[in-house]
Amino acid sequence: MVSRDGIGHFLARVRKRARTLTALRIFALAAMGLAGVVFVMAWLALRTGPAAYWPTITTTVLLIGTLLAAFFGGLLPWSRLKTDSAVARLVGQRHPPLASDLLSAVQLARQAPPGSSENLVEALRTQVGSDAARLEIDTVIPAKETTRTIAVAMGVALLLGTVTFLAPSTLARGLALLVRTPTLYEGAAVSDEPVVRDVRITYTYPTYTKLPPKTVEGATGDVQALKGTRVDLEMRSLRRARRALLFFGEAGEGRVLEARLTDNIIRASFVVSESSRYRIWLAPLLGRPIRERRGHRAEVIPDQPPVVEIKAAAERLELASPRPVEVGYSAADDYGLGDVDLVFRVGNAPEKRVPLQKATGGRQTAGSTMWDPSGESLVPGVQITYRIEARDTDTVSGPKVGVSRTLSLVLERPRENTDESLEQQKFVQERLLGVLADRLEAGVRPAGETPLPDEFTLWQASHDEEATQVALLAGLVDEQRRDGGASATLLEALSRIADRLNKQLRVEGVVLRNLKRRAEGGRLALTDLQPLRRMAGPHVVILEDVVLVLDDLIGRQRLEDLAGLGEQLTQAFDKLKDLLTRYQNTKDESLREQLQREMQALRRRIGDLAQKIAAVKSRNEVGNEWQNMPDTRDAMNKAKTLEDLLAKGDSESLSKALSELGNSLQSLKQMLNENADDFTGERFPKESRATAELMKKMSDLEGDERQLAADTRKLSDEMRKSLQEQQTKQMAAQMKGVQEKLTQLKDALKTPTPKRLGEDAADNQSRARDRATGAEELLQRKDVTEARKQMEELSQSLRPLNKVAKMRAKKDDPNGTMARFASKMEEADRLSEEVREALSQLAPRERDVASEDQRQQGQKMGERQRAISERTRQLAEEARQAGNNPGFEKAADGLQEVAGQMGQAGQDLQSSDASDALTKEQAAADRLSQLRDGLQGEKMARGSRNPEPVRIPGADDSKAPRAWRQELMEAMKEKGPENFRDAVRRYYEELVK
Amino acid sequence: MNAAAVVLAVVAAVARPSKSPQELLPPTQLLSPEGHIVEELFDTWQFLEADRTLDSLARMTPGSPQVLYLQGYQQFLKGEYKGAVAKLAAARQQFPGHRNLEGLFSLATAAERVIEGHVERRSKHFRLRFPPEDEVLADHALETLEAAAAALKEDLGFEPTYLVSVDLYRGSEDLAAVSPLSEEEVERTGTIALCKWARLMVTSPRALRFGYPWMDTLSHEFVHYAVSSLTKDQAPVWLQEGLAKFLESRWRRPPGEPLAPGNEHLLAKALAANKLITFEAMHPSMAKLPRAEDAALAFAEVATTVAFVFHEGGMASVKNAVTAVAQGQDARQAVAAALGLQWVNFDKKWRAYMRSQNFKTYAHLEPVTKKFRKKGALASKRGPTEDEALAEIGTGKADGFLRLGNILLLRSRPKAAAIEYAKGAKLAGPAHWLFPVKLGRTYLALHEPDKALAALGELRSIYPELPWPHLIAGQAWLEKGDAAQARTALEASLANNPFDPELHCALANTYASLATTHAELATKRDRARRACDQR
Repeated sequence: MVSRDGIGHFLARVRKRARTLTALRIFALAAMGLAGVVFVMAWLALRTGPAAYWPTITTTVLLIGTLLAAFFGGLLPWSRLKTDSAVARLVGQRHPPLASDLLSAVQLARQAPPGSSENLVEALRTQVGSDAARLEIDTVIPAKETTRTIAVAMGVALLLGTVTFLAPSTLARGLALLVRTPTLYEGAAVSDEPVVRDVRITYTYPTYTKLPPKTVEGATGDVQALKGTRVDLEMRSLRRARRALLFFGEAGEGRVLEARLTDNIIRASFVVSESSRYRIWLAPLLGRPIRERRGHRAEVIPDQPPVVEIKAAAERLELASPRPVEVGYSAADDYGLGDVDLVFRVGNAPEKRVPLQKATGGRQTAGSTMWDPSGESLVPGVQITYRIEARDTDTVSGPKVGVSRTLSLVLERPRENTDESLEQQKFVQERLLGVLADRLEAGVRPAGETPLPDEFTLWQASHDEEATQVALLAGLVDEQRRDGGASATLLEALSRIADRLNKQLRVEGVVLRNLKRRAEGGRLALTDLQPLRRMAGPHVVILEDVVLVLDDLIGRQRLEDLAGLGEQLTQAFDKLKDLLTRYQNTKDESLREQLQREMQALRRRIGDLAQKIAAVKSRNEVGNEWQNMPDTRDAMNKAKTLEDLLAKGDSESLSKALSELGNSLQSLKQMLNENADDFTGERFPKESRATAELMKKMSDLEGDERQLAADTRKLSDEMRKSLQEQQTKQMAAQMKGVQEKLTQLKDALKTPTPKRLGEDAADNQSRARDRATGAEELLQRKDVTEARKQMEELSQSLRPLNKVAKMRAKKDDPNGTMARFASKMEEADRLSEEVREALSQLAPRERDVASEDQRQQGQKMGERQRAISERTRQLAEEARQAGNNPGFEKAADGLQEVAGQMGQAGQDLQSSDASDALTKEQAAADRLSQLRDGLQGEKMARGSRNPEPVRIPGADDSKAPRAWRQELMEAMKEKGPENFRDAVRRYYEELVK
Repeated sequence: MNAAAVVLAVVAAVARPSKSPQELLPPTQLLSPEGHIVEELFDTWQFLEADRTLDSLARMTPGSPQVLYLQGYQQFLKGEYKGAVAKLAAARQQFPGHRNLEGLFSLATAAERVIEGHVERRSKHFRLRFPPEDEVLADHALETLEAAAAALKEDLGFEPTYLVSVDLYRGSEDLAAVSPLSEEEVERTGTIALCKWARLMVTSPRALRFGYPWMDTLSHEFVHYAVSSLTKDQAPVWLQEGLAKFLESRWRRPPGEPLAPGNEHLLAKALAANKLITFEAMHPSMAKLPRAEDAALAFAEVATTVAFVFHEGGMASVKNAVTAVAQGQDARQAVAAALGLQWVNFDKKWRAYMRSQNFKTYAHLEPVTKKFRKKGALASKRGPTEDEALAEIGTGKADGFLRLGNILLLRSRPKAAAIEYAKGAKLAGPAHWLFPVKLGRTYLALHEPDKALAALGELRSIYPELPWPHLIAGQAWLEKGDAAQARTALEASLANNPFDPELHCALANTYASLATTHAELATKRDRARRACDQR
């Protein structure tokens, strides 16, 4: 063993330094090299995309680099400088003067030649050791090269760092690609050419749509369907494949659907749940899988919420008192309607619902309802908002709600004031009656029977009482005018009588003042009362008139009020009947509860009626002959029976009990109506005659119009038949041409979409192709109208495509692919126009096919219609001129409208558009019937009470308050009798408050 | 009692007799010759013989359709509608489509339906079925009918075989349902009662605007029943109506009641102008006469014909005439022969008799026509009131005074009301009976019975068929303390309109006053009191 002497130490130091510096240099080089390689690979990966080989290459490169670095930087220097001789030779190479001595000293120390002197060897070693000790090790093993290498490595690192800093995500993506194993999608080669053909798509729509399955042949593969639709794809692979997949998502990130592959036919099924794209991926028997570059659209067509419309007399109705409001509605849904409700809110109270229709599943519905808000808790000036809500039957995404506009209703006086108003009238009548009786009795009292002062006091008292009541009477007349409905003739008569009484009172007042002065002076004599007695006769006559007119007014209102209650009872019964039917069909517990509430309400109403009847009888508000009131006990008992059966759930007996109650209420209503009508007929004979006359004429018009409509129907049927025949003939003749054009059109549309036009263009082309296929199928089913619609949609897709193709062709490539494509699309556009035109001719209008005879018939019927229209217009004028009768003005307006409608029907007939005319004629006849009913039901008291509903066509009611104020203002301008101006002024002030 | 209106009212029904089931169509094979005999006997009101023959037939072929049909007919004639319907239904099952059978079935069904819910009350000879709300008249009706039966037994020797069914109907609709007349015909002709199929069908006086002489009408119809039975239904219309008219008051008085003013007026005018309706013209039906006035005159004439026979030969001659007709003699010959005369001589003497009666005309007489009340008035179950006559007045301004009077009276201002009524009466003239009635009521309210009676004037005798003049007069007499006169007037009112509670109260007081001397009136008093208390 050689001891460590100077040489040994020296060599050990050299060895260590040499090894270290070499390792450092090699590792720096390796790091630099590997980094560079990785960067290059990352760049390559970005260029080539994800590939399964990248992680392998990366790992291999990194492993080799690292191993090489370890070998050259570690193992090799270690091994090479393992012996002192090797180190000595290295030193000798770096410092030649020492080379021989040092090597010799090392070798001699290890193995001295035989016979050599140990001392000499030792001396040599000492000498060499000291020489070596004097050597600077840095000079022997300099670090310069290592330092430079490290510096270069750091420079490279800086460079790569800068690149990383500038594009970190790109680098990261590239690096990620080097280490990540790609998906099947990513790993597939991308094909720009189609990989499948003969695509057949079968759509199986969700059950709720009730649509039949639909198959589209020769489709592009684009799918458009409702959410929840099952799509069955069937296509032929253009390459032999062992496996087929469908990748969903814009970049295959969605789900993967394994397709069934048989004899190169790919079959796959999926349910459309969201809009996406899918691509077909095929694994060939050998080699890399391929996939389509451009995905197929799998587009969810949204199931739209129902479209709901609401109609009422006005957007905002202002009513003096609650009346039923006619609310019309229509709702349409693309697939099927669910429940339709009227939703209303009184002020800020929670919303309430009135079911209008249960789910029918139909696509459209329309109707109207008489909505009566009077049952709600209402305060003066309350605003009620209401709207219609309709649900659809979507069971896939859940029902969607369509909401109409929100309308509003403002009630000036929610509480009905018939009783109050009648009380006031009654009060005035009673007082005036008292005055009349006093004056009558005074007129026949023998002179001198009563002491003179008392006689004078009686005259004065009668005068004062009458004056007070006449002032109130003026107020009542105004109130009646304001409320409307009362006979204007009657009110005018009352007003005139009040004026006459005022005049009479003024004259009498003068006499009484004189007599008072004489009485105060103690000079009053019996003969002084003679002028008063003389005036009594005419005065009494006027008082008699006023009492009778008031009696008519009160009697009519009271009886109409009762008839109105009877009417309401039958309306409530109808509602009950409807509810009961629905309950029996559905056994819905909430309906049963509603039924019970309605039952209770009905019984309350019957009770109210009974009370009113009793009051009318006990107070003799109408004469004996008009007290033909029904006994409400029967109806009440039947209502109770029905309620009990409902509570017991005895549904079998319910129908019978309901029918009995209905009959009882009907007879009750009839009796009250007859009583009121008889009263009106007898007390207001002129008015009744005029109404009867008007109604008869309206009835005649309606009859004529219905007869005309019947004739028009015949003509229309004939024309429709001709139309169908014509259509069939034309179709046979033209169908071949249309089919050919459609085939050409489809071929043109098959031209591949240049990539440069983008996906939108491709989509448009694909859609146009689908429509062409659809139109072809529809024509096979002879559905010309729908086919025409398909062609219109096709045009909508084709037009922008054509435009953009032309632009690009002109700009980029006047003679290349784009130009050829543009030319094809232009051709397609032309063909589509031609097909549309041909289809339009296949669906002509009635007038186009009418025969000469039919045209003449239409002309004649048009003349008839014009004559009826003219008569209607004349009747409207007559009604307007006799407008003092209740309801006549409204009838006149209605008749005018009907005349216009008839005029339009006449024009349609003249143009041989019989079916259009028929619709208008029927509408006109129905409106006439409504107007007649309205006139029949025009009841004075009901106007202020409830009965006449606010119907849709006549929005005039909404103007009532304004009209009322106007009338009030005008009335205020009229000066009252001088003595009563203060009283009248106070009255108006009260009203205006 | 002037029952001309009643006669006028029933003329259509009796003059145009409905077809019996036999007449509807000749029967086919339903009936055997024996069956035909039974049917014929029923048709000619020979019930005892028919029953006997039917019994033997039933023993031979019990349950055969023929027997079922005839038993149904028998039940129907006895007023057993339920049983009749059951028998006829069974017969129909075995022998469907036979016109007579079908016709009878529908008649029986209708008869059963219209009396559904009716109350039944019986007396010795009668079974009365009436609506519950009409109970107040039930006892009076049966008393009237029994009295009539007793009188007819005495006069004509008639006693009914069956218990006579008397059905009281609520209105024209019900009467039309069980008769060959339509409702419109019933209302137009004023038909209120019929005697057919061995029963009396009578409309309730509640159904008429002013009520009507319902007691005399019951009696009148029973006379038809008796004459049909006695003559085997062979008496011609004129004789039927003459006898019924002459004998209708027999339940309450001896024969020979003078003609009612309305009839007297017409007859007086006709005699003066020598324009009597001939008997030939009355054939085949009085309803075929051109004017209602002619029909009324014809009734007056036939009533005087029988009155003449009675005047000349007493009731025995009347009875002989009926017997001769039953034996198949021509009615005119039979009537003349009853007085030992030829028809020509009979005719002369009859005319002379009429002239000798010195019938007078009434200057302001307005015949009271029978008008049915409005449906509403009927449904309200109120009795008729004079206010329902308001529409009859039609005098414009006078209407106003009437209404004013009514309003004032209802407000307890009778003095003023009287002034208004007086004004109205002056304006309307003496032909309008309503103002005197109203004035009478008003004076009663003022406790001035003399003025009330004065206001009524001759109203009671001119319009005996109106209930209110009798009522007011009765109340006035009662207030004056003359219960006997009050009774006569009030019972006359009852005979026209039994539904006025005031009437029963007044009657109760009247009977109470009289019961001290006439013990038999205690029952009537109690009955009237009960009716009065039901106000």
